[in-house]
Amino acid sequence: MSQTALFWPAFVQVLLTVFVMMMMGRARSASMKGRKQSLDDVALNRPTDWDDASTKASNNFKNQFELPVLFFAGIGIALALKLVDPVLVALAWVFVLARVLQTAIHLGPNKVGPRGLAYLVGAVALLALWVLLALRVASS
Amino acid sequence: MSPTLILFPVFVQIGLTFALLFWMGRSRVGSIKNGTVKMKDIALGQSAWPDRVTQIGNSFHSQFELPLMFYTLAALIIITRQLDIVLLVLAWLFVALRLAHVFVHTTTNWVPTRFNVFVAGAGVLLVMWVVFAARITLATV
Repeated sequence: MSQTALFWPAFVQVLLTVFVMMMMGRARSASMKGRKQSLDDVALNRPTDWDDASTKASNNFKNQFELPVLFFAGIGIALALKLVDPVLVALAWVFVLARVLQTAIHLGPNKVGPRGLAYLVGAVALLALWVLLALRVASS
Repeated sequence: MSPTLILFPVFVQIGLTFALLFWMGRSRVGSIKNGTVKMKDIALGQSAWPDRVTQIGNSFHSQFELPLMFYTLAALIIITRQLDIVLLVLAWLFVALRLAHVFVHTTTNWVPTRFNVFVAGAGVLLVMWVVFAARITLATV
């Protein structure tokens, strides 16, 4: 299997992050215009009256710098050690697709139950990816 | 020394992060189920969780700060094959201090102790980066 197959799910995760960033920018500028929020409060990240769409988008954006960071680290290690195999690639895709779903729920209906479930599926796939990586490294 | 030995402390740090994640998830679901918090009070990321749940969540989130520089360094060590016993011992020390930090954070949460353990970990990580910088500088001369 081509080692670079593991790059593509990482690329989709990067695109997802950029997408959420753009949604956040759009939502925030609409919120600031509509609610006349103080630019000083926004500049210093002080508590300010963001509308729900802005809050959801920025919460989701912050999410993208938690588990996905462990995902990027795992992928970097797998590529550096040439450990890429179909199972790792499949787990990587499950993780990324679960993240896309989690974002869709978060920015859309924001139902906590389904959102948590999508998050959990991604987290378990990522944990499996790391466990597999650890087994490969330990046995090499 | 095989450079992949640096990955074992990395695996422990990753395991610690996942343990906190599942612990946080369980305690959050628990406080919703027993009615301490309502879904609508947390759906937008408000800080409405009980103290104990907040402590676990804060500790989880702090695993995405300093440890990222640790993962980065581990990857650089593997690629450049610059692992030695000093870096390996420091790596285990860093992870041990992170475990101690989580322990304080999720139990007494006594800030002076938490701070000291955090600073010790940060110091070890900084030393690792300095040692690595020296190694690759000397290796390329």
